[in-house]
Amino acid sequence: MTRKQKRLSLILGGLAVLGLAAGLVLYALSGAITFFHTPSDLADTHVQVGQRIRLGGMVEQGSVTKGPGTVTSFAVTDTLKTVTVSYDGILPDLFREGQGVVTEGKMQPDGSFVADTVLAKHDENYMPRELAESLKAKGVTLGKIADEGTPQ
Amino acid sequence: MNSIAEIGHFALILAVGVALYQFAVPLMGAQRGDVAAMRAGISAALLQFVLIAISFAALTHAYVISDFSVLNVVENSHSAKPLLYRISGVWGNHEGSMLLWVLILALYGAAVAVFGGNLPLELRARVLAIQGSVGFAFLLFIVLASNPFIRVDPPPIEGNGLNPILQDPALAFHPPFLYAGYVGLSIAFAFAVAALIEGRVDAAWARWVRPWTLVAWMFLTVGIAMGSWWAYYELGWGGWWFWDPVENASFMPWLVATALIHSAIVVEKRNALKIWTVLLSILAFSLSLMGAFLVRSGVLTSVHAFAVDPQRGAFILMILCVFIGGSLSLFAWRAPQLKAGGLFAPVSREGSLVVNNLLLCVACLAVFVGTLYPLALETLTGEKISVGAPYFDLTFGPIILPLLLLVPFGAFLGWKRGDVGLALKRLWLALALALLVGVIVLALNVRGPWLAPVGMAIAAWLVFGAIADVAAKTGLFKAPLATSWQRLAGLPRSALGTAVAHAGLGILVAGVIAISLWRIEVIVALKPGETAAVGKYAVTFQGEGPLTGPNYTGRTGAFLLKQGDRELATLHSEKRIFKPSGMPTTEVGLYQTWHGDVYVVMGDETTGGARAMRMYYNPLVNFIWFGAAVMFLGGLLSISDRRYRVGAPRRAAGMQAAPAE
Amino acid sequence: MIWIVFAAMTAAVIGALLWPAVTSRPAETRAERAAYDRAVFRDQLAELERDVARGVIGQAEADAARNEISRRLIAAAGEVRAKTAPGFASAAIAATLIVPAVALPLYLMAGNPLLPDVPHAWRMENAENNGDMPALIQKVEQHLEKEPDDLQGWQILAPLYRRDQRWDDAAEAYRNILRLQPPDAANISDYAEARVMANQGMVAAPAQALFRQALKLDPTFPKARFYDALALKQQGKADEARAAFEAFLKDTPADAPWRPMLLAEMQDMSAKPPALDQQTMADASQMSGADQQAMIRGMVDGLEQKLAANPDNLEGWLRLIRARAVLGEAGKAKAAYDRAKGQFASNPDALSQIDGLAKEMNVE
Repeated sequence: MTRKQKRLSLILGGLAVLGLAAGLVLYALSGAITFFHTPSDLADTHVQVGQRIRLGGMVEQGSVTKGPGTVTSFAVTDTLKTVTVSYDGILPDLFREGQGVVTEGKMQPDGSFVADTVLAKHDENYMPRELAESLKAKGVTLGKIADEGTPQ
Repeated sequence: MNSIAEIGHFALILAVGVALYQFAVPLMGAQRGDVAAMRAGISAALLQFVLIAISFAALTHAYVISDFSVLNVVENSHSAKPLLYRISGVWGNHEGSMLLWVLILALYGAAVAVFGGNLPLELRARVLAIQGSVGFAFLLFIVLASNPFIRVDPPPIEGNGLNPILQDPALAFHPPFLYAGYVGLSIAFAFAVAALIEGRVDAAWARWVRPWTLVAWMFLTVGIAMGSWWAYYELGWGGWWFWDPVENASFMPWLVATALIHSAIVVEKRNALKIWTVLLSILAFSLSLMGAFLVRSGVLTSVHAFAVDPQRGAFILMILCVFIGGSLSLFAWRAPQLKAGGLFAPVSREGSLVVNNLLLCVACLAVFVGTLYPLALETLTGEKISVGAPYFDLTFGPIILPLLLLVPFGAFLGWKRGDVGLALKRLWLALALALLVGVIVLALNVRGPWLAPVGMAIAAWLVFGAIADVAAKTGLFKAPLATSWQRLAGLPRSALGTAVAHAGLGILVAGVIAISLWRIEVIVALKPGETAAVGKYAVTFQGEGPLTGPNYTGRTGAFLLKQGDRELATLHSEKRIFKPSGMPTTEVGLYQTWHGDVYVVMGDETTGGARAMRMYYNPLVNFIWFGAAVMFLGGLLSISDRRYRVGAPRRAAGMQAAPAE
Repeated sequence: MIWIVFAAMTAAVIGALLWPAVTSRPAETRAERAAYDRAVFRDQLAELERDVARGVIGQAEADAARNEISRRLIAAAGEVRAKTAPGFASAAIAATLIVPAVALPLYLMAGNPLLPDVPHAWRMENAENNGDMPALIQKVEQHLEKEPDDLQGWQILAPLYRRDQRWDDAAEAYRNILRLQPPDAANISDYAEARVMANQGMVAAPAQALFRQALKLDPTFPKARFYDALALKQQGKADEARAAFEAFLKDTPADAPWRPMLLAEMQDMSAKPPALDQQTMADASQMSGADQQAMIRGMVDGLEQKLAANPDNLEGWLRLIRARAVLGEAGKAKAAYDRAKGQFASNPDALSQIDGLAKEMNVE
């Protein structure tokens, strides 16, 4: 093989690997991603039952109930709509009423949400970025949420 | 009375000027062939280090004496905090961590200045100038946008305290290691840009780039491993890697740095792949700068980001554009002038290293896409998504698997033209042992996932392959044992280092496979006196009591761990509430053995006087960090190789006569 | 003083930067560029020989490598010498001025040259000499953390908190004083007043009960009389409040310091229907008192409706009981309490919480 041929084969081999990888990435991106929604998004977008999504919002004041066993249920709200979430497991340390939370799981036929993952930020004044933006887009000011226990 | 804080501030600002000098004068000197101007870079680099060290010491002093007239101390410290965490608090926040970043940058610059005697003077001058320019940009950023020396008058009497989740020994030292890794890549970057300016890659160039990249790679390895260890036992989620954007931000430079230390061997030994190596050097540092941007700017949501500030993000983005854009443009312009080097057949040591580079870079690309795709999609369509572990398992896994299979082969292929048959002949025993491991796992794990036997066989293949490598080089089993021992002692350390690092990789893979496939998770509500089974262990909740620490209070739960009738240990899991923020954290109860950990987390109270508990048996989990430590050791062996101590030309004759170690 | 240090630092930096100019002799030359390459190649050759001697690589491989390195060694010998310019360019010397030129404006912009360091320990040690109030407070706090039964400490601390309007802390301090002293009208009223202030000027039922207790011990105690009347006013019992204020005014000497405040309250009552007091209005928001009152009541009513629709919400019930009690709506508080007890009859945990709250809020 001449130098040119060698280089060509090298480049072709590289491109082949790159192509395979690109295919893999595209395939994974079509299947293995989760969409983020706020409770009021859910009403608009009609997420299918059983589809894996992330649901973000604030934990509504006074909505956390414990039991039975290790199950906790609480309401996630973006001040416009509220979704009841149940989660079997241990909540993160910073999970609190009135604080931001992101849950990952599936919608149930009855309109409730079963989460298998609950994330709360390592920051006392955390508001999920996606939520802050969604709310701003809907014209909700954040001060409203910060007020303690404002029943709507 | 002189203020130490102000002296530190002034030293920092002087360093801005010195960095500008370090950039401009040596570069001009190298262009004009002015020896003294080139040497000026050396004193400037040393001086920059001294000034930033003074500044860093002054800030540390302010933390140690709890000087709450410094805003940064007020925001991140508390007089009741233990001394260790007052000190680690210096870099446990944005401003201080940036100061640590430039301190390490200046340390690397000073190292080039001091140990660069065997580099051509022009090259050294240009490298220092590029280092100076990076330092200048970040020092200016610190002084203007994130100054740790802003004062408060009148000072408050008490500080707000460090985020308690950072009050942990592993995390106290995780950032310095990680930064030493990130910033170490700036040396490779500076060498690459200097080579592009000169239009030539010296023989000495590769000898320098490889050890310095290796240093950076070692620190990155330890830094990432420490971060993962911290996440494992401090976050209380039982996981060790979350494919979180911040983790990815450190993992991408690691992947490219790994490619770079392999391609630099080819440049050094065979004078080939020069252009590619220059490009990799630029990419590695670009990714580490991007990591800084991603973490600092908060454009990506992450579980462990610092407080975010869009203005700072914009500043860093600007720095990013200048350095990445500038260096890539320079590359496009000058790279064609670099002379291509030696030839090699596709099946050869070089060829295998090219495959290694290709796969590592493609793997990095997959991580890159997964990390930035949500951001891109949101900017373009406004749709919000998250890309989690399933994506990375689907892409990163299949890309990296063939690489793991090829690793032992590569070491047995000759330079220029390799012989697959010969390599296989030397490797048959390792291959047979690896297959045996696979078969055993298959037999023990009949209904388990198919990946288990394959993964374990690959892990064994890596370890046995590394052993076979050393055995072949020392003639083990063929020559008398004494001869083999002698040969082992005489083996170039870099060859030994390679084998050790590859074995470490195998150990790490074994840990990853085991914990991904065989972990046992138990979530249960327990009242005092009740017992839960975790695999072959029984964990009894004995009850809880109050807890008082230096700056926290809380509850501690006691758990009796039994295997059969044998009492193994009493574990304690704590829920701490920190003063003054009232922030809660959880401490994990951990029982560690070589074959796995029992991991107990006490959760919140539930109904009927019980507490929710989360327990794991994490099989082989410590193999992950042990593997990383072995990889570090491999790097250490490699770097101690005498080859990297080539003398300056004038002393070259003496070096040649020196006896072999 | 500090400018001398800064000047010395700057001078040292410039001196260090000029050092190469001082030490480099004009005649100094450097090794030619290719010599560095040759050094590396020679070293590679030596390493190759060592490998051969150890038998790490085969003869054929070694020969090929030796050939290649030698070829590169010869190629490196043929390179031209780099040009060398003599001396340290004056431009480089002038460039040292970059340092002060950059540093001075930056420092003048960002620095605070005259502020001294303030070590925490030093500040605590010299708190008395400097009359450093925050430090003194912290000293007493630290002392009380160790000896929480030191009455004198709480007596020092309470008025200091009051002065800084740290009402929650003040209430805690007065509570401790009350714990360590036999109760009298003064210390009960002080504690109750701090709670009122912490509650944004609203006299909640428990605070009012405390004032009543103080009046039992000393029916003429001015502070207790004032707040008791204020409580009536806030509860919308205008006539009772007016009567109480007027009786109090009669007993108030013309030079009493609280007289203006009392008159203001009375004038406020005659001017408007009963509303929140001035303090609350100033503290809470720019809303008018009536609006605010209406808002609070609206919120609580909303909560009650929600609970009627979805009664399985312990937190909600607790909040409702508390809110009704704070608003002084004793009857409604009692009603909420009874309904909550009915709702959670089978849940002893919840019952004990409800009872605890009822006791705290004096809901019978």
